[in-house]
Amino acid sequence: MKCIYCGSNLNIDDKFCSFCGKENVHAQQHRKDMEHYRNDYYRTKRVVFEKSGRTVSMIAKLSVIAGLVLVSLLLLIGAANSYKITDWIRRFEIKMDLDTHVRKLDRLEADRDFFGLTSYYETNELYYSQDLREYRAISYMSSDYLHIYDYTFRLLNHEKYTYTSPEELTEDISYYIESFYNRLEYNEYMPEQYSKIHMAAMEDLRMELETFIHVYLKAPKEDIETFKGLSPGKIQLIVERSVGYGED
Amino acid sequence: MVKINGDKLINTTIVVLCVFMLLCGIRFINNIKDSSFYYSQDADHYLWYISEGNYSELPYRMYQSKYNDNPSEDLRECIAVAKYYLNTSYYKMYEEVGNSAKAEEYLARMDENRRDIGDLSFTIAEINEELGVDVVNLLD
Repeated sequence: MKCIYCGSNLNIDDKFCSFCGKENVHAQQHRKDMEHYRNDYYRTKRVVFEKSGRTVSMIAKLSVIAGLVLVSLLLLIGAANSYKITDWIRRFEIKMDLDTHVRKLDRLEADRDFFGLTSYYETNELYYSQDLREYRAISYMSSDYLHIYDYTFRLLNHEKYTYTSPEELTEDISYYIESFYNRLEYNEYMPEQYSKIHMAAMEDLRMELETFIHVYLKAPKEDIETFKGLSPGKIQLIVERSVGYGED
Repeated sequence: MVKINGDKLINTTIVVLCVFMLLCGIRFINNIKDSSFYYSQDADHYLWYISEGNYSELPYRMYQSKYNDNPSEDLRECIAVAKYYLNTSYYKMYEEVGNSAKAEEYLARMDENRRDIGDLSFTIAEINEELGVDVVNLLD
């Protein structure tokens, strides 16, 4: 480039002409341009950072919202299916202690502690387990017996239980007697529940229950022998006649 | 026209969703807990029945409760009363049908329960009376 005043050659870095000493207007303009470009650059850079920062922040917040919605949905679905989840958890817990449960159930059955057996089976929720299915029939029969025991004594002391009438109690007793005899029937679809060991226990259970009904409900033995196959209504008539309730 | 501040809206949405998620979590946990409906044994529960003289309900309540590995003194005594009622009812049953071997077995259990009854020993006479059993002389 040339000096506009004397025409001598100048470099872009020369602020003043080395020959005439005047200011190098080209360099001055260049510096202004460079200043302008630099300011532009930094401004643009700041704007880009601000915009991209806002974008990242927005994406992060939207991701958090999406995550919260997803977790809430999963929890709602979980709450609606809590029984299935509990089922899975219980099965897992039972499987961890399977040997203990089998030993305990075998001991209770061998000791003919029928109430203890059904209590252990139900309070530990062992009905969730397929591995302990073989104890289901004897346990449920024992549960029927426990209900018959409980309702019988409520019936015999019904003056203390004003919230339940004798008719309701005999109806409940009859229901459980019918349920008991139904479960006693061999079920070919569940052979493991009716193995020789379990059938022997069920037979002892039947004899104990029939003795109980004979002694406490005063039902004659010949009437008790007809319970198997009778409807709950007919059983109720026999029970009411035996204990002296119902029509004379 | 009200200008909606986008950032404020998003932040509010996040807070609301957090609260909603917390409520969903609480509901989920409660549903899991409530699905198991057996009670743990509690002495006060038994003492209420004993105070009402409802001895016959004690065995059923005992068997409907989850077993307590480390019962308190009160609970042990209450369970002994429940077992005494149960064993006395079976003693009477086998006595009446003439099965003396079984009757003796339950008499021994009654004796064991009597020792565990402790401060609730007044229930023995009441249970015997309710069941129509006179075992005082047999046990002494």
